[in-house]
Amino acid sequence: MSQGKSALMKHENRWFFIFILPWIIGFFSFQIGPMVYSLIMSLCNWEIISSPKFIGLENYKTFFTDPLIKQCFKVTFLFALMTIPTGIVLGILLALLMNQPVKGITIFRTLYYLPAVTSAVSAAILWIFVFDPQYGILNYLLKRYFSIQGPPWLGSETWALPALAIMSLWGIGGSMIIYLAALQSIPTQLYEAAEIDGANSIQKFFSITLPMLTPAIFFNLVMGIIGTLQTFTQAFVTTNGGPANATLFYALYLYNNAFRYYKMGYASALAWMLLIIIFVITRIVFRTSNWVYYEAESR
Amino acid sequence: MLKKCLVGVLILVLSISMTLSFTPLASAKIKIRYAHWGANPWIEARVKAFNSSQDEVEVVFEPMADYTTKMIIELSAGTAPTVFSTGIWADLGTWMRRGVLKDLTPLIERDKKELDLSDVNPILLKICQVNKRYYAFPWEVCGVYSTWYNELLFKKSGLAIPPDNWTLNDFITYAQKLTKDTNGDGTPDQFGVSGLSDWWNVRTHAIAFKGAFMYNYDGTKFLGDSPKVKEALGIIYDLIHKYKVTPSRAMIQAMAATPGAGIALERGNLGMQIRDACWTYFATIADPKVAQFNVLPPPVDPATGKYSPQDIAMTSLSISGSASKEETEAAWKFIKFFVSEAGTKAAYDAVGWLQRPPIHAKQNKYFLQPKEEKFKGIRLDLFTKLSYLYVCPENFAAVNLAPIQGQVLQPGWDKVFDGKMSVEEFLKTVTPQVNKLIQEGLK
Repeated sequence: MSQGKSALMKHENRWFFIFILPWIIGFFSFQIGPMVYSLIMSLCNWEIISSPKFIGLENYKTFFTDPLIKQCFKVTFLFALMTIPTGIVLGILLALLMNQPVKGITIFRTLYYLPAVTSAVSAAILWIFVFDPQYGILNYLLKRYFSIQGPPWLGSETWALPALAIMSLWGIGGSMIIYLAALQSIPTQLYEAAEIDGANSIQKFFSITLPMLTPAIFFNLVMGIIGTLQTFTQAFVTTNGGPANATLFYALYLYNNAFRYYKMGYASALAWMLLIIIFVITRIVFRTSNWVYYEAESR
Repeated sequence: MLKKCLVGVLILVLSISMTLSFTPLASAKIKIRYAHWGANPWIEARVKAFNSSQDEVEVVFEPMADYTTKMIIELSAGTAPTVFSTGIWADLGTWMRRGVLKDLTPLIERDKKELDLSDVNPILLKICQVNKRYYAFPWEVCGVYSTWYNELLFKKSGLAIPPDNWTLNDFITYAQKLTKDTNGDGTPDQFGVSGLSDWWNVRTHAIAFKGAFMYNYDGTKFLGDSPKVKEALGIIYDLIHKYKVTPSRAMIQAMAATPGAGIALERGNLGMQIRDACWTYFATIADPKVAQFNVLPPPVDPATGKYSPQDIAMTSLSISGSASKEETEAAWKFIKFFVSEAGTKAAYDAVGWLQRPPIHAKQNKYFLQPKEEKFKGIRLDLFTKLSYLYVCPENFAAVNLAPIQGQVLQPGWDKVFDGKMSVEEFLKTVTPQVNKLIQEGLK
């Protein structure tokens, strides 16, 4: 029995490496070099167009004293708080809807997934029009149906970040697909057994659907954290960090330092600090992941 | 038979050798790349005319999106185009000081006569230099900050076109009269003056109103404690918050193509905008039913009774520091053609008008005589008539001002614009911060 299991494991391992090989080749060919180089550059004062000068840990010291870093973290973490939990809840709700056996459901699934494959730049430009305070559809609807004078959205220190969060939630189709796949892999006998036991829909959702979805939720949570901490495109296209640094995301500040302020050394240090931060947060999330139910482990 | 074969072989050898001997002639043409920020019909016309004018050099035009980022990378990698556009706003100062541009001084000295330097405003030449060495050569002037206005709105509001010696007080009065709630919803939707949320626009107005330069001549000090700067920003603050003649951020966002970029006159709901000659482009795209462009001098400063002195900007050409001797000569040949009358004429003939005045006074006729009907009556001559206003440039070459503007001035001004900070408080906060960054940059 254990010999059979071992052979199966070997077989699985082989296929694991075969499937991951293209990524490994790509990583070693194109990524490892720049990564090592950026690590070295993070210890230098490098203005890109002139030769780097070794300055030791100076860039990392600057990181701890830079007054804008606090603002970047505030913006980035607030954005993460706004988008990750909302994204999870809405993604699950949408997946539940898309899991209904109604006619033409595949069309709806495609439509809801479409924003996830739309270019982020095109989407951001589209949303600039949506958020237009005077002629935008959002403020028009607010005024028409709720008699509310909408805010200036992207032009407001208060509303710019929530506006970007709304923009980001438009792309929840990506996580919805994962939840949908997870929903469809839940064994139907679990629901049948619950029905025999007299469980209602809410009980079935909280006792079967949600626990069975926890691996997908966990995956989306981890990917969401990594993704939001690297948010760049929306802010770069729509607000460029303003007004008054209200949307100065960490990645945008990193880009500004690299290509606008000619501080590639400091930008490299910022990138490595971001890697450490993401690593620590991800580690904490993994450490506290005892709420995730893996069916295979319980067998 | 053998003879015939021999003759055949000889003919073959001869034809091969002749072909080969002509091949180097065909490939002797030096191919160089020329990059500019985006497509530009005036440049394309010059490139085309240059390429057809001679057989030694071929210029391949490369319009680049995201210009600065791409250029920084290419300059760093040593793969930059041989010749490329530069300008005050395109990090010229930083590039000049970092040694990535070819020193053009020997070439300029050699071809002084051909370049007709005596016909060029010396300030234009000065801003292409660091330590008296040239790293760029100018080709068009960005013009005097003047008051572009929508003549149609003046007519609709029953306002006479002000005389050339109008003052700053007149400017404010006109701005107030032009600000209106045309649709009666209780909120003004027509404004006297352009949006003043963008620091660059604020700076332009401060210089036009009061000659309030933000930096000292050598660019080593931010003049936040200067009474002129304080006064000029105070006037701008009043335009925004006291007279309320400029649009709010929401309005700017609604009316402008990009948030914070100010408002283009062509939308029809703006009375006046202080800008340089480059607004000619908008005059061509404006719908005459909503906007008829014209231009007035900047308002006279009542305190001096004169127009305020102004800084100058230009678009220039530079050669990559990594270019070989041969490529440098080829690029220089192209630059000389570019700024020559033949180059300017080619651009004028192809497009029908010039966006900005050329650097040579003798070539200004092309700027002043646009073929485009929409320019009829627009006082383009003001931009050259008032060129005596140029006193000195703000020296953008001393340090890289991008982080200063991006990290300190723009976020600070955002608060002033939103009424959350006074001008005094703004200057008190940003002056030490900006000066600290300048000192760090000078190290």
